[in-house]
Amino acid sequence: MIRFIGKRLLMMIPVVFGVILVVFTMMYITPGDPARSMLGEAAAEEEVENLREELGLNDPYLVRLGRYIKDMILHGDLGTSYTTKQPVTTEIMTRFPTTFLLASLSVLVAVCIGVPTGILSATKQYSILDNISRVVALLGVSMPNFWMGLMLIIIFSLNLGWLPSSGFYGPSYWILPAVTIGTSSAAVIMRMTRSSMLEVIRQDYIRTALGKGQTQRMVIIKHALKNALIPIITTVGLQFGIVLGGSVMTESIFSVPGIGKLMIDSIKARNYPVVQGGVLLIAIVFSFVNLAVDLLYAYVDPRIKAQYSRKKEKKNGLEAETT
Amino acid sequence: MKRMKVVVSCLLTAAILLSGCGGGGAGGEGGSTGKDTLTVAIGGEPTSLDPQGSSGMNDRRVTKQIYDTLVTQDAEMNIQPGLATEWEYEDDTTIVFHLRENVKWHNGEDFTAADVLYSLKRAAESDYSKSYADMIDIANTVAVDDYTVSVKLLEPFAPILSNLAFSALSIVNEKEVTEGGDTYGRNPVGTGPFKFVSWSAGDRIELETFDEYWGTKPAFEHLVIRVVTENANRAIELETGGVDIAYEIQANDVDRLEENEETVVSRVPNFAVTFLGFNCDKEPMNNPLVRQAVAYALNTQEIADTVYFGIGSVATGPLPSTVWGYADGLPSYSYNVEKAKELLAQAGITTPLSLTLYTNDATDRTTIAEIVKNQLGQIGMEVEIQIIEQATFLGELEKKEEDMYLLSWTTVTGDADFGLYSQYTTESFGASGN
Repeated sequence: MIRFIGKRLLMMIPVVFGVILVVFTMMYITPGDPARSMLGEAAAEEEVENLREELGLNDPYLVRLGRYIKDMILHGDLGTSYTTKQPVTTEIMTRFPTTFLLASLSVLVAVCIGVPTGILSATKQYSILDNISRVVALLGVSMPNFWMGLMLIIIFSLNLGWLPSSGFYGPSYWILPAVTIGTSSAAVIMRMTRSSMLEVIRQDYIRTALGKGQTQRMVIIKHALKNALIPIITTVGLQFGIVLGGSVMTESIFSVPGIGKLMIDSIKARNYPVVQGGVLLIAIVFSFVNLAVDLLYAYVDPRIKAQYSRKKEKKNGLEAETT
Repeated sequence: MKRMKVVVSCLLTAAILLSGCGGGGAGGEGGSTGKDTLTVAIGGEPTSLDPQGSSGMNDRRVTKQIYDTLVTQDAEMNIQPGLATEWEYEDDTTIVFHLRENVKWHNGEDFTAADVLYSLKRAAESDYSKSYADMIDIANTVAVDDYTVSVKLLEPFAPILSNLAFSALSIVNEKEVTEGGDTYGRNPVGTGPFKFVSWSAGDRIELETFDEYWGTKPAFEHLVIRVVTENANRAIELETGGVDIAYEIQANDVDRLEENEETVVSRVPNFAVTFLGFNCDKEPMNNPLVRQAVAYALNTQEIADTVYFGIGSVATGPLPSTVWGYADGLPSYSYNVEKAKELLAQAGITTPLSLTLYTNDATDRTTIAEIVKNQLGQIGMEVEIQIIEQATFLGELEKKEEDMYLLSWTTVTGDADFGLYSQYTTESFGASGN
């Protein structure tokens, strides 16, 4: 198992370099001038040119890429933000916990809504309950986050006055943004849970378990859900990754000082180092989430755990033969 | 001057709102009595609180509270004393400023003439503030004594006092700036009514009253400036008591807030003029008759009414009415489609005529572009709108490939010089819509 984790961690290195190359190149070819953005409309061309030179923006592509990678590997330095002059690592790390918390809460909301409704829909297939859940799920997937966010603000902040409409200072502030993101993810998770459960409850061993006189509830929780979990866990993991990088709109609407808002501001200002650093961090965290999902498989399904171990045994066996 | 402009619309109202003060039922921080915190919502996060280290409007809204300038402007934009109590012109290019004594920096040090010299020199060297200080002859600007500064100009320059009142020329403390280095913009030190306390990235900046401030002390102890980027949410925060003042209220929220008994909408005319510019390097816009035809074909009142819900007014020239030097009663183009068609025929233009119109991605600009397209359609012009993101917009304009463009210019110093010089002089040709 440790070997498996180690291998996966090593595989992250090419992923990180791939991400750096792609993001760096994309930012390089995107039109727009950070120096002009920083100095504003009133600055003369000569002043803009000075700043461009100072930021090293006039250097060729390979020189800039080389410098970036060198600083990153040798000093762990992701550069300095053009606008705030703060180190990119500081900028990102002060915001990341907020985004991580928001993503975790949203996924929690999504799982709490998505999994139970998915199970209910599957066990009562084609009932009114199932149809309603499916329609609601369809709405959840189709509703854009910004609209959903604004509607929640109008209802719960403006009209009812129950919850604050912006900021991220405590539990009452977390609810609206987490529900906004959570509902759309819930819809995806609900649909996956439903189809996965439907597949499992038709299997022979479920019929056997029921035939043995177990209550339906026990069979669903103990036998069916556990076996239906693999695709659900995959979806939850994916949703977590999507929320991490894609909560931009929600963060903007609710003034949540997270990484999404930072990225949008940085893209608009062509603040290359921050955009690169942010994407890199999201990619790394996403890789870790995927790894965690793979490890969860082993926990949920003994067959997969056996598979991980078998690989090791097989390899040991081969080594024994050759020596 | 190779590019000419027709001013189609002048926006007023950077609306500022005040919530029902005191122990109102709307909630908010600070409890019902003895409110000692004022919370203000701004539309974007400042990048730096170094007045010579950034150029953003939101940055200036905060630095204004922390720093002082040599002179200030009152609500009518008249020059008033600031850190200088009196000043006199020795000759056309020399102004002697007598500085206020017993002024303290937030770090406890005394403010002296050396601070003024350092700040003016720094401002003249910084790319962010150079354009406001480039008339000052730094080498010959000297301190006569600890509280007297003689400012030398390169040539006679009437708007110098307006420039000195602008926050880009705020007076900074040399020791703090040098010690702060790259992080100074996050730890500002001034002589103003509020001193800096903390900055939570992406969220809020907290200031507190400076006890030793030389002027009138604020009526509350803490000033919290919150970043609320979503336009609709700034208004909602105000209505729900989350903030006390909100800047940049959108035109479509104004009516609702004016009807609300607990909020006060303060409509303040600003210094911005939004205009439709022509690329006079290219056919057919190099022909004055075609430009005039466009001017006659546009119903600017309709644009002001539709896009800004009647807030703001139609401009007759490049300066808004708030700026010194604004001339009332200038002749302007009236809306006259027949006349426009005649002018086009006179210019020998055969319709349909295809034209490109560049605009940035701000909602009000794209809406104006759509209306312009429709209105020009009436005289046989087929306008193709190109929406370009703000970061690339000015760069695209410098290429001069468009026929027309929408841009806005703000005379931030309140003096006509700033609004006209960079837009209409040969020296400034090529950049930012000139």
